[in-house]
Amino acid sequence: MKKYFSFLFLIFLFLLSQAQSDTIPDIKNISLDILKTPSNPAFIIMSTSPVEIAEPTTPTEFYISIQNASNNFTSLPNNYGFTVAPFWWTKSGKELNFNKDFSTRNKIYFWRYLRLSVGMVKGVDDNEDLWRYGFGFQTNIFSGKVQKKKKERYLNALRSCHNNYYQLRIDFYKKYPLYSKIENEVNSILERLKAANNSDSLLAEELSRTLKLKQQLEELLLKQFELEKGMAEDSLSVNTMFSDLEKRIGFKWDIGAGISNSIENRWIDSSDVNRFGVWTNFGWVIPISKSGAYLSILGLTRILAYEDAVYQYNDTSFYKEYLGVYDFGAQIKFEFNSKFSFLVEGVYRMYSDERTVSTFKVNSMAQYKFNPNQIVFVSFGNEFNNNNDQGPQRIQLNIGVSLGIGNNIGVNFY
Amino acid sequence: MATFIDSDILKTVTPGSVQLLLTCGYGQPIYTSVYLKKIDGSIEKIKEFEGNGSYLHLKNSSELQFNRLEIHSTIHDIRDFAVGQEVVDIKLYEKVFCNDAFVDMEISMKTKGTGQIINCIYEVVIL
Repeated sequence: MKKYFSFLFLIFLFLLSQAQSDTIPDIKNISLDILKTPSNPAFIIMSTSPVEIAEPTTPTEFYISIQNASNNFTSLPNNYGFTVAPFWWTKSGKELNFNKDFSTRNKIYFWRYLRLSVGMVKGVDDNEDLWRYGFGFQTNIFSGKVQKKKKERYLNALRSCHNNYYQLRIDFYKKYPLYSKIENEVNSILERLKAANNSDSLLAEELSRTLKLKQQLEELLLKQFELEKGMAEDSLSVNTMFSDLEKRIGFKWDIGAGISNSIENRWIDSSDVNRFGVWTNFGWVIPISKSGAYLSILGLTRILAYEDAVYQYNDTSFYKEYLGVYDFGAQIKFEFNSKFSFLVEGVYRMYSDERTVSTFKVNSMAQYKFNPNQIVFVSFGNEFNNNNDQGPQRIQLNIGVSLGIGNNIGVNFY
Repeated sequence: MATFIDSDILKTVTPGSVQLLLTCGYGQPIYTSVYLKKIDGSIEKIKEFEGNGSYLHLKNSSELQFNRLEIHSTIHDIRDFAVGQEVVDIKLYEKVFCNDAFVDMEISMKTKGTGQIINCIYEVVIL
């Protein structure tokens, strides 16, 4: 019996390998649509972020930002940065549980969403030789909660995919009599072992060999099964449901801190602290329709310290070694659907020195997702004044594109 | 879509509970069914669950002896780690054990991008 099976198996193996030699299953083109416009803490401390108030998000594991804020898009990008999440380097990342990570309850986390970032801006303060480096960290305390109905829909889709796969696989196996024969052979050995009260070592060895043979046969059958079935529709459904799951609602709160240094002509000994500070974003995200529209109301509190600040007061200027800055802001954001969103934000700035005048910044941003993981955005607003003119002076327009690379690696061009 | 398959023999000595420990790392969602493949060729689903499972009682060893368990897990790959971070982004560990013995299997793999469905079939013969 054993020789009969081995012989049949070799013939089968040969025929099957001939049938599949010219095709490889394509599983590379399936992708999730999960890219967001991230806030890079290093860019926040250097005041080069396209928005002042960033909704606390559950960021991708790693992203790179490349930015070119102005210059009529005629020059190469002059701002670069990247962010990493060290959580994934530790044992906690390996042991992370999907249900804990995508909880329908809003829980306090700190370490899970900690991200560290480095950014660089070339040519600041109208000086091409002056480079600025920023180092920042940011983490979520409350990230919001996953919507219960969406999670149920996703898990149902995953269960359906799981059960379909099982049924289709069993039906596929039935087309191959050799599989049934080897299954019967395993059962026959088990019956004989049972009759021998599990004391026949030769039978146990035969069982072990037959199981190995069965596993090899199944591996071959499964390759053929995946080529024929593909399960593309099931995969698409599961991916779509998961993309919906990414939007978290409820109370959100993050904190961040950073420091930026200026270096002239890339000489390290010319390095000087430019500014440092801490900030927090907080607010609510509320679903406003069943079709996926959301309203976000967010607030910002930020304390920054400028070293060596020069403040323009009418026709004169004064120097202050440490100038404290206190920012208070609010943002309202409409996400009309999964593709289009619009926000307006305002930040009121006060200084620690009595000789200064408070100022403000108003900014708006429209964002459109033209393809999965491909976002274009336009922001328009004024910059903070560093003089005693309270009104808006420098109006800035940013146009940017965020492109997903390998899905969870985002590259953003502003 | 990709599938991994493995099999083992669990040799029980003293009667007791046969249990399952299943851990899918990196927060990847997983759905699992456990089938009892009886000696007469019939198949019965004995457990179905979402997420990780720790010390799940399957059946007593006396009920399972000379039968097979097929543990079928479906993982949805929702994470991708960049170069310099993790070298794998799917890690599945399954352990079937009783009073005196255990068998286990582990899958660690790096995938390209995200969104793939990975199936894992682990067959355990109970003696």
